[in-house]
Amino acid sequence: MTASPLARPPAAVAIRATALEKSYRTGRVDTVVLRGLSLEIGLGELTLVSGPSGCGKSTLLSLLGGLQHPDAGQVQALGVSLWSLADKDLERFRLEHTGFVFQGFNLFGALTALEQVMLPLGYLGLDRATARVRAQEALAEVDMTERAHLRPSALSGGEKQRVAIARALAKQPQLLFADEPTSALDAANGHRVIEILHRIARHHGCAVLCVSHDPRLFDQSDRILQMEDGRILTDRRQPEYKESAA
Amino acid sequence: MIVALARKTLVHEWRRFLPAVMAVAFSGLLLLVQTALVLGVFGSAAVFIDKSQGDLWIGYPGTQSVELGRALPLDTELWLRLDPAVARVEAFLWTDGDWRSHAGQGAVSVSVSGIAPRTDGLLFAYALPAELRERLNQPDSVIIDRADLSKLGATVGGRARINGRQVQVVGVAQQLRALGGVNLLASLDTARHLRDAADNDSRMTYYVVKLHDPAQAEAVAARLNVAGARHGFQAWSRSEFSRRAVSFWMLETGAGLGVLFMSAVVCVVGVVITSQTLMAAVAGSVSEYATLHALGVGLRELRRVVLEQAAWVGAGGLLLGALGSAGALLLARQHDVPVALGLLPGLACAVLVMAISLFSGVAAVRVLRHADAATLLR
Repeated sequence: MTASPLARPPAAVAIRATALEKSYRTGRVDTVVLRGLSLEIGLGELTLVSGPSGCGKSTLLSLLGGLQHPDAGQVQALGVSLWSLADKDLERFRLEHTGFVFQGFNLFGALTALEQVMLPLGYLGLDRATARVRAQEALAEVDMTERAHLRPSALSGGEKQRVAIARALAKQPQLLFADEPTSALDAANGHRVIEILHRIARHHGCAVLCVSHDPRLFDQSDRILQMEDGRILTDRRQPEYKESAA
Repeated sequence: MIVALARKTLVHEWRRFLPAVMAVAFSGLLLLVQTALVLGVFGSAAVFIDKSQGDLWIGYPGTQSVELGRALPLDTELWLRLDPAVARVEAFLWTDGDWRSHAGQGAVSVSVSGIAPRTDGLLFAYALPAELRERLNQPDSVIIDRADLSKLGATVGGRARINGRQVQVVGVAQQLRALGGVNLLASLDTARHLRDAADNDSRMTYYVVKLHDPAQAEAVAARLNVAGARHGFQAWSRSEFSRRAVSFWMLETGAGLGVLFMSAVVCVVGVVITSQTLMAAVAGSVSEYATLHALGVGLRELRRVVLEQAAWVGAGGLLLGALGSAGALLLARQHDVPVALGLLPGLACAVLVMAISLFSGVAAVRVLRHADAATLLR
């Protein structure tokens, strides 16, 4: 890869959102979370959405990821208009094209790391042997091969998050969403997780959208969107980030 | 399914599912024991019929239950014997009495069943061994239920007075206890003497009929009823009269309705507690399920996982409940508590308990549906 001091050119578009609106009703009060927000997310790069808590960044992620309906507006993901799909087709789209990583890891206590990663692959229709190979590859990519036989109770927070990333990655998604993936981690582990996410964007060419208010992640992202009050305030590209140990 | 999520979670997190298993076990136990009690208590209303041989019961027209029998016309037996299908007719005299075991003690109301003391007698054929039955040939002898010994202040070989006439207890039998009081067995002659001490009437209360061909019971009963309509008696097949007695006690008495009502409450409580605990157990993994749902695993597949767990919880609980019930019923038997549980009612209870578990599973899946990704996924 040729290192350039200049900002990377905008990547091919993975997600295009137009005029997204979303509000929540609590009691009799309507809280507007997103106000006519439009944006594009590129393939092959890590986009960080940042902003104070309550600014609507997690809502944006769940709308773009096909988890929640917008009140108005469109989401085109990989050329598909998400919110015109039936529930079942939307589930299928998520199964085939998207991965999610969350702050709380959400791993099943009863399963080993390898089984956690194999679990969604079964629903994709892969046979046991193929699923096992893919899961092992994904675990190797997050450097968890040695710990693949352990259950979550025997893993550290950083290790759990890496298993969660492997679980999302093994499906080979083109879209990877991460909601505060480093909030529960210390500096070293947080750094490692964001580095893995970044590497995934580069090596797999997928669009990684990461929501975080953690400023430590800024210099490891390709693009930073600053949000406030349901709008995007700034959109800036970083000079190319150098992988520390590629 | 390449990873057995439901079973692995059950095994690994058994502590989380234990309350649900126990809830199923106890609602199973409650249901089974309650059913056995209902069948036992109300079955004992028909204990005289069920413990006797014979194909037809002949009684006063419209009689609802054995203890409500009234005296039959003297010529009844004649009409019965005229029917060519009838092989044997045996009389049954039901009379009430006051039992006094010794001076100074209050009287206990008892019912005396007078039967033929012959060794191959039809009445109580299943409750009285031939040897015990023969002892009734001794004049003024009675047999009482083991469970009534202390209530009557009686001992085997001891003497007491019924309607002022002295009798001797010549033996004890089991499972003769019926609803509505103490039942004694005596020979027809003894019973007649005891009744004569109160009033003078030589009419019988029932006749039990044995047919040449038991399969003809319904047809012969219908035929006899034609004569009975004119001569003041009615015939029922044995099973029909038994059902009649049971349903009279179950549906026409306050006690019966009370017990049935309680069974319904037990059922509802079982459903509520089981579903709440199972839902709590499922809710423990709800964010993991929500993550799978976010990753594109359909609600239908997740429902299958939860239902599989519910089925295992149901099966485990049912097994524990059945063991507990077996113990409880054994204990009841040893203490002469009337319990009875056949294969069919037992199976019905098992099916109901499994249905409760699966229903709770379905209810728990609703937790998944409502707790949608966006709120859970943190």
